[in-house]
Formats: sequence, structure tokens, C-alpha cells
Amino acid sequence: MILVLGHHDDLLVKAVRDRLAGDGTPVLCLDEQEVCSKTSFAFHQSRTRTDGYLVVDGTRVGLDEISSALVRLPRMWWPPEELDMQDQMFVYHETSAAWYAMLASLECPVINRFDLSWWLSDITYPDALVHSLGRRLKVHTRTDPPADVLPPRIFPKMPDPACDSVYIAGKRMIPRESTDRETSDWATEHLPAIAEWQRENGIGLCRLDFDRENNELHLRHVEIFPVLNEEPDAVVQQIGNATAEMLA
Amino acid sequence: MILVLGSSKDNVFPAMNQCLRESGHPFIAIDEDSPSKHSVKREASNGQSVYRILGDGCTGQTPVNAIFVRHAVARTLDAKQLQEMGHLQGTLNSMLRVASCPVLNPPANAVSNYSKAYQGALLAEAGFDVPRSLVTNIPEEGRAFWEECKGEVIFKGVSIMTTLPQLLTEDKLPRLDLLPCSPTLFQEYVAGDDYRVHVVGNEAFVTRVVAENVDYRRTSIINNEPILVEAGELDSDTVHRCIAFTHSLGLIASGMDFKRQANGRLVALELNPYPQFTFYDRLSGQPITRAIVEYLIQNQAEETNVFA
Repeated sequence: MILVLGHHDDLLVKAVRDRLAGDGTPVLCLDEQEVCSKTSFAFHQSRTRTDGYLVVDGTRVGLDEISSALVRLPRMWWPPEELDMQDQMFVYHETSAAWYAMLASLECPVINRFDLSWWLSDITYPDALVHSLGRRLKVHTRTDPPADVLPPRIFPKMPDPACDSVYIAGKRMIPRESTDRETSDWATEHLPAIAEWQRENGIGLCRLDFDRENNELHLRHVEIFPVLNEEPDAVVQQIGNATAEMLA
Repeated sequence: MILVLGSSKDNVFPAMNQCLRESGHPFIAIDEDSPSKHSVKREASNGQSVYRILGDGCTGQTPVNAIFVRHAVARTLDAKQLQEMGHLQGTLNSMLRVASCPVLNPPANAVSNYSKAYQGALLAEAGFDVPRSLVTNIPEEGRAFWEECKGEVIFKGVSIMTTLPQLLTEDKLPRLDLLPCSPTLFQEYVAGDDYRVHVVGNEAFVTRVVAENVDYRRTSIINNEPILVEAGELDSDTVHRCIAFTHSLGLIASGMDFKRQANGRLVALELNPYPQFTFYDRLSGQPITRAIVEYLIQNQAEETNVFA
């Protein structure tokens, strides 16, 4: 059973589901509302054992029955307004903390295995990813100085047309446009370093944005929750297929 | 120079400042409860980011060689104050991510206790005994766990939101029906004395706490009843494991909580990345604050990218 946590209208979720359906692979897909408000679960832990299950529409799915998971939760869920503000905040964090622990316990492939910094929307995390990958790739990095008004949370960044952008799904490099092919080939040559960074950070799927100065690459951004709405169908399909292959 | 980031409304910040004053070592303290007084400026220098803290006596020119941080928590609903504090802490956190001097403790590494269940798994992986636990939003599961543990169960929050553990007594069982509203963490109740291990670099202070209540914080702070807090002893393997576990999380210091049963079983409950160590050194007489100050003085970086 492949677990897909994400919205039904998320283009990546849709592409992955279409591909997996073609293969006849059983998929359990839950959107964020279903995950946070409608899914019952029990998660047991002891010194020697970790196990549990989810109950979705009356059907019980053991955590050990999950062979892989795609996590595409936009983190927009918030508890019902009939609770007072303090309780809303409490339920939000209790729910996030419970799901984080369950997803972290899965021994199967999880794409992406987001760091707690992402779950907590630590706005310093995107720059930290740029610097850690930049060190691995031995390329210059360039991040913007903090804005006068900091964003309240991490928002996915759309590709900058001035940058060369390459999607990475597992070991596959997918140039965003034909003009990004040279950068994509360069990234392919650096696959061992990228793979090590992926393992270290739990990131199977991301987009790298580079710009060039004096023919030198500068890493500008690492998008670990790429939104594909502005991408051509062919690119979406390639990313979906590569992601599905990682999950299958 | 040592930089102290914290809150004047907290017990730790004034104690740290006092201890640094007594040491005679130069330091600058930034009270995040007055966030409008300071700003953080980032500059690029030879491909490296340099951070300058400005305002209220900070010129951005004095090298900072070690940093102590225990961020202020918002104690107001005033939108302007919240925004200013959020901005200051956000820019400070960007700086702390890449500071080239020791940071005790880096906020980015101090998040594992956001999910107690997740941290429990890390503790077990590190070789600590941990209590049998259940996180659930299913009432029947809560009841079954209570029965399996023969009614010896406590419940508390899964996340970092403050909750005090309570015994799940029979009269509270009907409240399990509320579980679908929010998941809850249930744990086998481990009766016995509490032990707090404060790790500071490669040193550790073991403190024994004896209280009437399930949670000594409830006894001491809420019920205002006396508790016994004294220097304690744990075997050296455990102490070394505490030090190694703290370092494995990318932390310099921590406060780890244990329960020791009468039969000797020692159970790890959690690791606090920002412990309220002043509470323990005040009551036990152990020099924990001084050890932290000593650590910062002894481990200052020669080269730094932070200036205040």
C-alpha cells in the first residue's frame, strides 16, 4: 500500500496517482483535512517496538503495510473555529507532533522525509538547505538578506525565470526548460554529492535554482515542496513518473 | 565577548547575566522582551555572511566569540510587540544558523522535543529505556492501554505545548471519549524518584528530585508544596550516554529527565534543549549556571562572523 498525503488537485499527487493506477498499485490518498481531522490512529512505542495503524473510512491500515509514502501536505490545515484560540493552537500542535512521529517511524521510503524545521515552518530552513547543498556541491551560494518584514512561515517558491532550474527526483534530473539542460547535465555529474545530501536531509524530490555569474554557478534556492502549476505537462509527467518510480 | 540572548521575564537570563558579571568576563545581553531596541544586519564579506547586531549600546563592531541563547516566549497578544519580537528572533535565528562561534544551544537543533513521541524513539535508539507509550485519538485504544498497564497510566500532550502529566485514574476514563478532538500521549506510569541530568559540554550534573506528585513541577510550582532537590548519582554509562545523546542532536547543553523505580529500572522521559537550570542549581546548590558560563568562556572562537 502506498500512502499519499496530499491534495487531490496537487498536480504532482495527480501525476503520481495516475502513474501508479496504471501499474495497478494500491494507493491510499488522504488530503490534509482528512489527515488532520478524519483519520483515527494509534501509535505504540516502547524500548523495543514501534507499531500502529490508521483508520480511514472504517478500514484499518497497519503502519507496517505502508510500503512507501508521498508527503505533500501544504500545512494549511487549522483546527475548527468553534474551539477558542488557545485550544486551536493546542490541537494544531498536538496533531502535527503526532503525525510527525508516525511518519518519522516509517522505515519505508518517504518522499520527502521533511525535517522538523519544515514542519515548524522555521523560516531560516530554506537558506540552511542552500548552504548545506552548496557546501556539498562546492558551489557559491547566494541567498537574500532577511526582508524588513519576515514571512510568517515557509512558502513554496515558484521558479525564478532568471534562474536555471532543475528538478531532482531520486537520481533523475529533470531540466525545467530546454535552456536548463546544461545545468541539469552538470548536476548529473555531481550526483554522488547530491545523493549524499539527499540522504542527510531526507529529500528525495526538490528543485534547484541556480544563477550564473561569469559562467560560474551560484545556488540560489532549494525548493523541497515544488509546486508544479506553472510547469508544462511534459515536465509534470516526468516528475510524476520519476516520483512514482521511487515509491513503487 | 559573550553574547546572551534571552528574556528579562525569564529566570535564566538574569541569572546568566549575574554569573557573567561575577566572572568579570565581557558580555552583552540582549533582552528580547524589548525587541525594538536591536536590529541585525547581514553583510557579505569574502563570500561569507557577517552579522552585526546594532542598537542599545551594540555598535556591531565588537567580535562575539560565544553565544548563549534562550529565546523569549511571547507573553502578550499585542500585535506590534509580537511582530517586533518575531522579526528580531527570526533575524537572530538566521544568524545563529551560520554563526562560526559556539552557540549554546542552536535553535535549529533544539526541536526534537517538539514531538515527545518522536524524541522517545530517538532516546530508545540511543539505548535508553523509555516508557511504553501510545499516541492516539481513538478512545477504545486509550482504554485498552489503560487496562494493559493495569490502570497505571499517565497522559500528557504529544507536542511541546506545555502540559503537566496526570494520572489516568478511573474517574477520568469517560474523558477518553474526547480523544477524537485531539490526539494525546499516554505512557505507562513509572513511579519513583525523578532524576534530572544537566549536560554542559562534556560535564554532567545529576540532580535527584523527590516529590509527592506525579510531576514535581506541579508539586513545587502550582501546589507550592515542598520538594526535595539534591545532588544525585547515576551510573557512569548513563551519564556518558546523556552527554553523547545531547551532542548527537547538535546541542552543547541539555536537561534530561529520568524516573528511577524502586527496582533500579531507569527510564528516560525527555530531553529539554532549553532547561530551566537555575531552578535546580538554586535548590540543589549545584553550580550549573557557573558551568555554562565557564563553558562559554573556555570555548570562545578566535574567528567569528558575529559582531555586536
